[in-house]
Parts: sequence; C-alpha cells; structure tokens
Amino acid sequence: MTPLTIQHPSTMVEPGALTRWNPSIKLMSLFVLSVSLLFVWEPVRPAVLWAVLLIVALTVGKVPPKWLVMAHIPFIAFGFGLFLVNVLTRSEDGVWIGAALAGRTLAIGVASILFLTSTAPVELMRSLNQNLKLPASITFAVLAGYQLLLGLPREWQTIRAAQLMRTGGVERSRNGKPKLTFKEAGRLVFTVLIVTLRRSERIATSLESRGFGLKPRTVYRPIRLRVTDVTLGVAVSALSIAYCWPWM
Amino acid sequence: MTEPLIQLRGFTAVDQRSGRVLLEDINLTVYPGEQVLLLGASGAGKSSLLDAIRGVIPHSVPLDISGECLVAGTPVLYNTVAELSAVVGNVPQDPHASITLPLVEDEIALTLENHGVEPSQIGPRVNELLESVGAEHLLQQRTQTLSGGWVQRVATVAALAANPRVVLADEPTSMLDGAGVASVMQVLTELVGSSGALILVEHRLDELADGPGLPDRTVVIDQGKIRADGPTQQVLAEHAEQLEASGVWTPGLQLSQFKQRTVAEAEPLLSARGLSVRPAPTAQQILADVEWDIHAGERIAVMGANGTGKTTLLLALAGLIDVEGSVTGKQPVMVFQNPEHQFLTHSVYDELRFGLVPNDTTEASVQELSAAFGLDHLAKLNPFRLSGGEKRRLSVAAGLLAAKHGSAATVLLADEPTFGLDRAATTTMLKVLADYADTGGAVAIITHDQRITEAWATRRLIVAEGALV
Repeated sequence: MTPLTIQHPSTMVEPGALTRWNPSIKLMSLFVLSVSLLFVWEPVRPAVLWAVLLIVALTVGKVPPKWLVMAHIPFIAFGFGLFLVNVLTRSEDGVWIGAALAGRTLAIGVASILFLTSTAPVELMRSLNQNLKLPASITFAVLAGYQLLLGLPREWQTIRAAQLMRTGGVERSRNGKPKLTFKEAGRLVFTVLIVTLRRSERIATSLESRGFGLKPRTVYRPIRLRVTDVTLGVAVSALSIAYCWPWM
Repeated sequence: MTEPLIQLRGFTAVDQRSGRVLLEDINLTVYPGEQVLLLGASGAGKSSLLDAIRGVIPHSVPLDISGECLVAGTPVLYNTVAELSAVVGNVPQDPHASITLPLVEDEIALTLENHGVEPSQIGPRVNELLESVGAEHLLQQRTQTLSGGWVQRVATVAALAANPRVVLADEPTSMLDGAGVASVMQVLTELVGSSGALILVEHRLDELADGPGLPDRTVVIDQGKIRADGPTQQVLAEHAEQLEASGVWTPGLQLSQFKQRTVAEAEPLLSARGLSVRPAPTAQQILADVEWDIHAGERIAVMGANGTGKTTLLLALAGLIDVEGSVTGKQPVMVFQNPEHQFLTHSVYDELRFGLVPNDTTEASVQELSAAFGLDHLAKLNPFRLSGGEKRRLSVAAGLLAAKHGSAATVLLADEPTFGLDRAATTTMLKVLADYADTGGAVAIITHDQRITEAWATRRLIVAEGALV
C-alpha cells in the first residue's frame, strides 16, 4: 500500500514568469479571454489561439509535455462531444460550428491549465482577499477546506485499513487484486464523512477562538500589485478582445 | 484587591434537549497571577466549564444558562467568541483540528493577523514563539508533514500568539513525550506570568509534579458541581478518598501492580524477522531490521518519542502495510488510535457482536466485557454518538472479542488504548487486557504513560529512530 496523496498542479511545475503574475489579475485576464471567445463562431481563430497557448505552456509556463497531454484528456473528450452533437443536429453548418466550439474548449482548457500550474491556492486566496477585497471569511474557509481535502486520501487509507482489520481482510478478485465491495465502500464513505465533518466543526471553533472575524485584520505577507501585473493584465485582455472581435 | 479575571456566580448550564445539567451553580473566581488545576473524572464537566469561560457556551453550543460568567469584568454573553479571544486563549485538545494553513509560519501569523498586530512585528513574534517550544527549525515546514507532538507545540503557540491574559488548556500535552511536556508547560506558565491566569486540565500530573510543578490551586469538579477549591496540597490531601472513588488521576498515585509472570519457552504467537518499512520505494526507512517475538502471556508496552514509528510498527505486524522481511504467526488483531475509524455498525450492541459466531460462549463473553467496560446502558446508541472515553472502551472491547473468538489465540495490538481515560477506566482497561494475556493470548500496546508501563507491562520496547531498543 503506497500512501495516496493529492497534489496541486502548481506544486508539480517549476515556478516561472507566470507564477510571479498577480493571481487576481491573472484570473481576471483568463476570464476576459474566456468571455471574448464566446463571440467567435468559426474554428480558425480558436485553433490558432490553442496552438499559441500550447507554445506558451511549453516555454514560459514550463509545463512538462507529458503532463500537458494528460491534462488535455478531459477537454478533448468534452470538445469531441460538442463537435459530435453539432454535426448530428445541424445539417447545414454542423461541422463548422462544432469545430468552433471544440476549438474554444481546447483553447480555454490550455489557458486554465496554465493558470492552475502557475498559481498556488494559498497565493490565489490571499490575493483575492487582499487585492479584490473578497471577505476573509470566504477565502480562509476555502483554504481550510482545501487543507482538509489534502488530508483526505490519507484518512481514507487509514480508515480502510482500520475497517479491514475488523472485517477480516481484503476480498480479492479473480486476478488477485484487492476488491472494494459495495457494502465496504458504503461504510468507508460514511466514516470518512463523519470524521471530516467533526474535524471541520473543530476547525471552525478553533479559528474563532483565535480571533478570526475580528476587525481590523492585518496582513503579514502582502501580495503586491505591481505596475507590470496590471500592464500585463490589460495587454492580455485587450489582445483577447481584439482577437475575438466579431467583424475583424 | 485587583479585579478578578474570571468570575462565575451561580452559573448553571442545561442541555434543553436531553434535560442534562452540564454545570450546576458554579461559583469560581480567578485573580491575575493564579494558576488553577481542574480535576474531575470523564464527563464531570471540565470541558463545559472551559467552554463557558471562552464563550463557546452559549454562543456556539446553545444551552440554557443562568447565573453570571464574567471575563475581565465583562459578561461573556455580550461578546462573541472572537472578541473574547483577545483575553482568552484556548489550547486545543485535538491540535490537528486547529491547523488551517499549509505553512507553520503562516499558521502562527494567522492569529496575529486576526488580532490586527502590526505586520512588521509579526515575523519576529512568530520566531520568538517557535523558539519558546524548541521548534524554530519548523518555520518553513509544511504543517501536513509534522508528527503529532510537533503539531501540538505549533498549535499551542498559534493559539496563544496574541498574548491572551487568560489561558485555558485542556490536556495540552496529550501527544507529547517527556521533553515536550516540560517545554509546553513552561510556555504556558511564562505566557500567563503575573498578570494572567491559567486554567489547566491535565491527566499527566506526575510528570508535571516532577518537572515544572503543579499549579498552586486546585478545583475539583464532579457531576457539574464544584466539590473542592483550594491550595493544591490541601485539596489533594483532604479529598483523596473522594478523588480516588470517582476515578480521577491524582499525582503520586500508584496503579496497582500487575503480577509479573514468566513466559513459557514455547513457539511465539507472532514473530518478525528483518522487518523494514519504507513509505515509498525510494524513501528512507521508517523501521529497519526489526526482530521481535511475541509469546503467549506477554504484556508489552511499546514506547518512544513522537514520530519514531510506533504506529507503523504495529501496522506492519498486523500486515496492513507493505514490508520487507517476514512476519509469521497467527494474524493479530489491531485496535486503532482513533476508535471512530473502526466502527462498522449503527449500534453498540451490533458493534460488539460484529463478525462473531453467535453462540452461548461468545454471548457470555460479550456480556462480560460490556459490563466490565460500562457499556451496558449504551447498547442502543450509535457508536459515533458516544463520548471519547466510551468510544475507546467500545473499540478495545470489539478488538478483544475478535481476538478471543478466532480459531486460535492471537496477539492484540492496541494503539494508545488508555488515551484520555480517567484512572478508573484505565485500571479496568489494563485489567481486561491482562486477563486476555493470562488466558493464552498476548497484548502489545503503545503508550506514553510511564505509570502504565511500570505497573502493567511484562516487557517494555522502546522505538527510537526506526529501531527497537
């Protein structure tokens, strides 16, 4: 039994220039790009954008090629679904529109991969709180929840081992692999849920008794908003809009 | 006379749903500079009293309250828990549950940020706090990777970072080894100084008495009422019998000695050869080349500092993790540290009988254990709804029953089976485990408690740096 872990994509990629870009501005730029793409109804521009973003991911983003391919799987599946539905339902322009939508999915997909691999969750939450004034009660709740999530695989394994001890060992399928029966899975999920619920309750009380919610708060390590952050954000947003402008 | 820091007058708290009286007519005044030891059996109301002072009762746990509870002159009712935290610091009983952020540094800074401390002062203060518990090397560590003892130290200083005048500590040393107990107690005492007050709930009184010393004042609580309040030595002397009867841990108390026994030269029940464990194929070994035989009749105490691999050793013997080397013998039964992890059914009744062949013999031994552990009146309850001590007793009982009614005698491995139990419950637990060893089985438990090892164990094993000593 090797220990299971959850890792955020940002911990698996070497920090680069995109990591230093302010998370809130980065998120907003991603949003502008996604919305702009909604106005494109032909496949050429999304395809070109997808190719450009791939190059950015492999160079500036330092995303390992293998990783980039793996991360594409869900977007390709979804994009292919969109394409197929359009081809089957629209007799005249189904292929054209379907390809446009699939291309859009892929382009936004790579942009999201770039965002995830360059942004640590803690930095994002701090930035949303400090730069965009999202209430601390929300950002810290998300962070605390995220910490719980990181602990879940280990909790799952411990509880599985603990329960196996009592039920008298693993049932194995014909090829000798350990099998999780339906009943066992039910018990496992139940206990994991209860244990996690209890823990989150305690985290809430503990945060409160450490003065969480008092005003004014101070900030130990401010996330700075530099001129370059904003300039880059404005540039990327303007480019996105211009690129996707319907009558260009 | 200076103003009292804590003042409860005729304070009563009743759970409306069950009608249970948690605290009854509490009168307690604590002045700056006082340190108070709060004694009481499980379920006597110690935690409820602390909750009332930090405002969790009634703000988060809605109970019917009457009487007064003032902290630093203001009624607790008029302040939120967060507002009260400027005055009251709470060292959590379960330190894992108070960690919110991935980095140790940020975790401690969080308290200071909440209290609006000037950012330029936060860094130095975080360093100072970590140094006070000998944890300055952990500054940049990830909180997820810390062992129980270090988490407890980090959680303690994080809880007290804002310099509260009143410190409430509910078993602040439960996960610590000897050195840890001294350093955490030192921090608590230093923090309150002469202008603050400390209220301490603690079972490990001997280690306290031998090291940093017991608080000067002791309050005894039983069934929600204060039974005694005065200088520690006097209270302990005058109420010795009553404390003994209600099963409270008191300092200098000897557990009754269990009979030593010679182990017959027979085949071991379980035997480990060249046992090594590594968490991942390339990682450093947690345990290296363990050679260990367990014979019938043995009562083994496995001890060792935090994070040395005690639990891993038991898991390896139980065949629950991948190992190098061999473990031979009959499959042992293991009782985990968190009882909730092993509950499988929806009632105490079913839990005790799970997996047993229903016949007269098993039924008789279920009845016997259920009575010995005081679980009879809980039969219909859901195991998850029991109190901490009840859950632990239930999980050990279930483990014992599984061990007793297998095809042949086997070893029972238990990870801290006396954790959080009062003296009465601990004594019962040790007796039941010893009885099992006397009837052909063997027991190995993990414990931090020196008293238990001395009174009960036939053999002591110390795990240090991945090897047995």
